[in-house]
Amino acid sequence: MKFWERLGKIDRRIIYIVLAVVVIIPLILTVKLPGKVRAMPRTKDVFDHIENIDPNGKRRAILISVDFDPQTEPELKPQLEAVVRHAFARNIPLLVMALPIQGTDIGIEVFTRLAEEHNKEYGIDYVILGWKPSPVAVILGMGNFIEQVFPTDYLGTPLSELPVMEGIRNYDDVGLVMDFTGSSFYAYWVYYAHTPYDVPVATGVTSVSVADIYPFLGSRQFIGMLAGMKAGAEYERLVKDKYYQDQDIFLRGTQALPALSASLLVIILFVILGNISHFATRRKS
Amino acid sequence: MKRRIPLTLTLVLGIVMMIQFFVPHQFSQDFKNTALEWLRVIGGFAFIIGLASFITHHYTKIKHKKEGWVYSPIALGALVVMAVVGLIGRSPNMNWLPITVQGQQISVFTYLFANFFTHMMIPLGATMFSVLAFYIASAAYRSFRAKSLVSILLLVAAFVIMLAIIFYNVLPLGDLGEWLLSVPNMAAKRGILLGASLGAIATSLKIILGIERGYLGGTK
Repeated sequence: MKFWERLGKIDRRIIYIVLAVVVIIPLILTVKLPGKVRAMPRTKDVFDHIENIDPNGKRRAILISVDFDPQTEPELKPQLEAVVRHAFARNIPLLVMALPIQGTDIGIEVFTRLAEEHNKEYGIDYVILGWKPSPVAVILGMGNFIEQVFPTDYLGTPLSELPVMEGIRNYDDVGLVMDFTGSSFYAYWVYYAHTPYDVPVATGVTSVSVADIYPFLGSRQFIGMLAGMKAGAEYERLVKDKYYQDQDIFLRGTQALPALSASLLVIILFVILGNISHFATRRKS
Repeated sequence: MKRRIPLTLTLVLGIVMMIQFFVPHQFSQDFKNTALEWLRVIGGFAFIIGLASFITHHYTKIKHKKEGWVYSPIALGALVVMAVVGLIGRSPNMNWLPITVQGQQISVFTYLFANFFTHMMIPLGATMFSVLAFYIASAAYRSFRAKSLVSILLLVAAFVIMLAIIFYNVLPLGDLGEWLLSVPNMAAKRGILLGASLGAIATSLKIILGIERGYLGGTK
C-alpha cells in the first residue's frame, strides 16, 4: 500500500490512543491555556440577567432545574457550579428541582458542597424540591402554585415551613428559570413555562445541542444560553473576575478546557490527513 | 366498547383542554389544575410499566440463555439493591442502622445510596458517554471528505466552529462561529422546527379526532 493510501486508512485503534493521550495529559498536568477566556454574547446575557435580579425584589428567586444525568455531567456540571456560585455570591434565593430523576442526586451533591463553601444554609438560602413524574404537568403546575406540585422538599419538610419560600408562590416570584440539560428538556421550559407564564428562561446545554437552541434565542424565548464546557469556563471566568478575585476556587470548566481544545485539534488533524489522502489517491487514479 | 371509551375520552378531553387554554375563568383554571394532578399521578404509573418491562426482558434473556444473558442477573441485582437502598435511605424519618459520617448520624442506607450514585453511577455513565468521542473522531476521519460543494461547506463550517472553541480568544474566529450559528444555522433550524411543529399539530388533531389510533395498540 502506498503512503497516500495508508494515510487514509489509519487503524482506528491508533486514533483512539492518540485521542486518549491528548485528553488525559492536559488533565493530569493541569495545563493552562494562554490568555483569558472571552465570554461569548450568549453566556454574557445569562450573567447580566442574574446580575440584574434584585435579591430583595418581587422576582427575586432563581429556579434551577438539574435536567441532566451522569452521562452529560462532565460537560454540564461546570456550568451549574458557576451559576450557583454566582447566585450564592449575590444572595439570590435558589429553588432546585429535576425533571429526570437522576438530576436530584446531582443537585444534592453540588448544592451541599457549594453551600458549605459559601456558608449558605439549607432552607434559608436554598431549597431542593426534588423530582416529580410528568415533566409537562410539573412545569405547568408550578405556574399556578409551586407548593401544589411540591408540597414538601426532598427531605419531606413542608415548603411552608422553609424561610426561603417566603413570598415565593409561583413563576411570578421567579426572576429566572435556569435549565441545565443534556437532552431536549429545554423545549419544555420554553413551551410550558415561558410561553404561558412569561417567566424568563435560560438554558445550559451540551455542545451537540447548541445548534438547536438558536431559534429560541433569536425569538428571545431564551434570554441566554450556556453552550457546552466552554461556556462553563466562560461563566467561571466572569464570576471569578467579579466576586472571587482574591479567592482560590476550583474552576472545573477552565481546568478541562485544554483537554477539550486538544481533542478538537486532533480531530481536525485527522480529518485533514484523511482529505489529503483522498485528494492524492484520487489524482493518481 | 373496548376502543370506543378511550377514543371518546381522547376526543372530549382533547377538545376541552384546547378550549381551556383560552379561558381565564377560575372554573377553567381549577379544571386545568385537577387535570395536571391527574397527569402527574398517571405519570407515576408509567414507572410500573417500565419496571415490568425491564424485569420481563431480562428474565426472558436469562431463561433462554440469549446472547449476553450473563449481564442480565447483574442488571436485575443492581435494580433490587438500588431500589431497596434508595427506598429506605431516601425516605424521610427512616433512620435505620445509623452510622456516623463526618460527625453526622445518617442511616447506612442513605450512605450507601449516595456512594453508589456518586462513585458508581456517575463514573459509569460518564464513561459510556465519553466513549462516543472516540467513535466520533474515528468516524469523522473516515467519512468527512471534501467530495462535493455541499460537503466542502459542511467541512469548512465544522472547522470554523471547532477552531472558534479552541482559539477562544482570537476574536474573528469566535465571531465567525457565532455568525454561522446565529444566521445560516438558525434559518435552517427555524424551518425544520416550524415543519415539525405543524406536523405535531396535524398528528395531535388526528389523534383527538380518532383518525390516528396507534396509541391504542394493534393496527385495526
